[in-house]
Amino acid sequence: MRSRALRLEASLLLRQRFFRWTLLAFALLCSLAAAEGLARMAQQRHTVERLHETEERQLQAASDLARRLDRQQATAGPFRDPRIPANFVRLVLSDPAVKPLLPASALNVTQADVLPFYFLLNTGPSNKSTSTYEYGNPEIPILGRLDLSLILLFVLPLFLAIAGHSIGSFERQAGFDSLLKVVSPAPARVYARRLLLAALPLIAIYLFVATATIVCEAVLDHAGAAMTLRSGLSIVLTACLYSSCWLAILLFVVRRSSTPAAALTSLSIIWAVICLLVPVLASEAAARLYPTLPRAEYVNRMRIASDEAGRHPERAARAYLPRHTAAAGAAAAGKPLPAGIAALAGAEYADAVKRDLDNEIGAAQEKQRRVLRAFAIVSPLLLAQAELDRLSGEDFERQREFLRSVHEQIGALRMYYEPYLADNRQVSGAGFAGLEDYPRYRFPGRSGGRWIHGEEALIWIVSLLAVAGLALKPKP
Amino acid sequence: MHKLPILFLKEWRQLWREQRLPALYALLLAGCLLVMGTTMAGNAVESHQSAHAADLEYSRWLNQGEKYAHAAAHYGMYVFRPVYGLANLDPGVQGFVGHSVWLEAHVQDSLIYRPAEDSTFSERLGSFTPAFLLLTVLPLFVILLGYGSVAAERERGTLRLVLACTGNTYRLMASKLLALFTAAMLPLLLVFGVSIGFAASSHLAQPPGNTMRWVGLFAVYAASLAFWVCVTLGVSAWVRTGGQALAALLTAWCLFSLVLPRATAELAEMLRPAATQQQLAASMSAALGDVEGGDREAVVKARLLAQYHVQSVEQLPLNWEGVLRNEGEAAGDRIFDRFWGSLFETYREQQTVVARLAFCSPTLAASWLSQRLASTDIQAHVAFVEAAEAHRRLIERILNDQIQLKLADPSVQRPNSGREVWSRVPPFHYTGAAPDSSRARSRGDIASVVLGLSLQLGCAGLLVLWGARRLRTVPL
Repeated sequence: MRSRALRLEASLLLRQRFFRWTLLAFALLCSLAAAEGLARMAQQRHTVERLHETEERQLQAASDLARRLDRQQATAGPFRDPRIPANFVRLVLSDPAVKPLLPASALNVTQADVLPFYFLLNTGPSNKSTSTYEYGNPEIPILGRLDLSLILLFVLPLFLAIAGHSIGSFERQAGFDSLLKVVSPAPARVYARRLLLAALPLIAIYLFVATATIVCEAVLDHAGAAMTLRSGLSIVLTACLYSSCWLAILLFVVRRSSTPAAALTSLSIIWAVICLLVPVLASEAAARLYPTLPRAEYVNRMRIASDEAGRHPERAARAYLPRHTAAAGAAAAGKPLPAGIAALAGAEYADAVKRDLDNEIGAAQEKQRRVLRAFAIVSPLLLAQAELDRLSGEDFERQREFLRSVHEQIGALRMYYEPYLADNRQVSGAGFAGLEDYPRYRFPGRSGGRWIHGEEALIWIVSLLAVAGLALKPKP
Repeated sequence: MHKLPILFLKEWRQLWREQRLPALYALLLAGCLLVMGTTMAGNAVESHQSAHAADLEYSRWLNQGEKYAHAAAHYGMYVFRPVYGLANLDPGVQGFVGHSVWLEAHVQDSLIYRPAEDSTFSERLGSFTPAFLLLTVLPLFVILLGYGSVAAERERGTLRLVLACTGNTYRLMASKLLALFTAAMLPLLLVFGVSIGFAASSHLAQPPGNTMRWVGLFAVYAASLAFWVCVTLGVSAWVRTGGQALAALLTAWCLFSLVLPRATAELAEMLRPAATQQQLAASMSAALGDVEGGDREAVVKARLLAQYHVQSVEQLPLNWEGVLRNEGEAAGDRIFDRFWGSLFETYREQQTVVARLAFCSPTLAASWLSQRLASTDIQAHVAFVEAAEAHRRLIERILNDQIQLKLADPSVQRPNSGREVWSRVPPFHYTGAAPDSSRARSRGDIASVVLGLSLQLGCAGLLVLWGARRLRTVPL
């Protein structure tokens, strides 16, 4: 009897032209967003391949030059001057540090426009090499990308509201409400069933497209099966939890509205509050409570540090030499400190100040994130957004991990060049030909998607149960 | 004719009597105050900090002490992007481009430190600014307020009565249009009033033609609102029930405000792809390498020897090193002009693509014009970059001219210069005036966008007229 009723409800729903159009429009939007995500990731992969190719070419050229110089035949290549010292090469060769993609990266490409995914490193002060960004048109991040996270966070709730706003209020408006009570002892269950019938196709479309995108991305990026499976399950879980919140809200509003229009009006206002107002309020509250260091002040302090290193090179050298044996050896010989070592010492001195400033900004951002999480009780969007960032590897922690590893890499590069600089050695000579030992960048951080944090999932489930309980409570 | 004011008053009273208007006004007012407060406070802080840092930087430049002029060129100077009063309304790309640039010898650096990178909240829907509020959220307010203007009267059965009183469907539609437009204009007037007041009382920079820009901005936002008012009324007159009207209008809002602006920007990027940082860096470094390795020095030497009728560079009335430095900078500048110019040209082409497609969405057209008028679009950014680069070249020229002076004592290899030379470099002052060539080029784009917006407004007006006609012909 129940399955027959369900079939009847489903056939009634599918007969509505409006519902069919809604499904079609949503499927089209999801496909567009998936295509956009995959295209952007392909572009990133292409850039990374070119970066590595350039690095290989540069290293090969340097290595060839060193061999040629050994034979005193240096005539061609990018380093044409046979007297170029390592001090010059250390600044000309660039080592690309790349944050690897994850299978779910294609779902969330908006953040990738804001957070750099690679840096070109050399041994100079890190302030310059880690402050650059991609040259894409800055007008695009203003709007944000049409990606699958935009669809899940903003568009899906609207489509759920449009598809499900008339499930119960229509009968009430038409005067069949009491009839429904006679037919079913629990009308709330009838509404819930209808709502699920209207919502499930939309959620299924989203999940199908999102998981297909993850699989495509994993195949293209040669990601492991376990990581792909974990990312796929995580996105299913995130989408289901987020949609459930909206379904509970929908059920609650629809049961208490007198007409479909009133229900849709209330839902639109709730959407505006949850998706627009609360996130902005949270973000502004966080920024006002824990402001980050203004960048103009940052520039000013960095400038003071580099001035100090320039005016008092002995201070920079004093801080540098105890930690570097090769350089200390060169200094102990009683000769003046080689220019290359002095430059490295100055760069490290400025980097130490930069590290302090970055930590200051990082500490403020960490506190801001805590404020944002507090607001997640009011807006499930904040939680879902944080989860999507985590899944796609565009979260705050991973970015900080990336920056930390970039600074370590700069340190490794300096260590590599140090013996050459200590001896004032030229590019020519057997020593520099050992480019096989050149330190390559490896991202040490998380390489896979993560599960939802326990306490956040708890907030979601409790809020979900509370709204669903209110929605299903019999009306007097 | 005197019936129109009476009808307008009736519609206005009806809007007030429905509880929706005060609730929506309260929500919108909260949003307006929040967004404007945060945008203005952020701009004021940034402007003050940047001005302070710029003063400190110039004073550091003047007091850098005695040194060789080329060492001063490498010491360089940071310049900071100004914040305009109009940015309180539409900050445009400001959050997504760097806020300062280092002017140093031999290199045209890109801007660094994007404010968006310091934000912990990922702005996936786009930046929540007053412009976003007026162009994206206010239309939602218009829809929620006006979807039932005709459809709800039809559902209630009062439409026949009202028509009998007015006797003219056009007059009825005109009164509803006026009432809805007035209700929608109040938040717009509030936002403009506060923005103008704040801009006048603050010390923020004013771009050329400031008053006309404010007038233009008001016209653009009013036109966008008029479009949504007409579409809302038109749809409300066309469909049978309020629920259907609201569902159709929300779908249209989702399409025009969320999907089409993003899709158009993506399309522009796809049709005119901008060079990536990696591509630009690789090509620029190859081109600079060619210059370094070329026979430029020999060509310059031959030219100068012939010009001064002397046999060797020592006999020249100029210092040979200074000549070479000036020539080197000029050769580098030509390369920077070529590569950076090509990137900026791509941005312009992307803007042209968006301008040609602006007829697709009123939000897109209005947003394009708004950023252009507020001087916060990509063209304004490019104009700032070009002005900063012009200042860098001025610094290099002043310093290289100093090096180029023939020394009385030929035994001194690299004479030191002091404050007298440094003070020949004026402080960087950016007026915000776009170059004539760029202004002439953008006229076509502006005309295209204005035409697109007018076309949309015309279509929306026709929809209202057809709606009024339908009321006459279709049985109620």
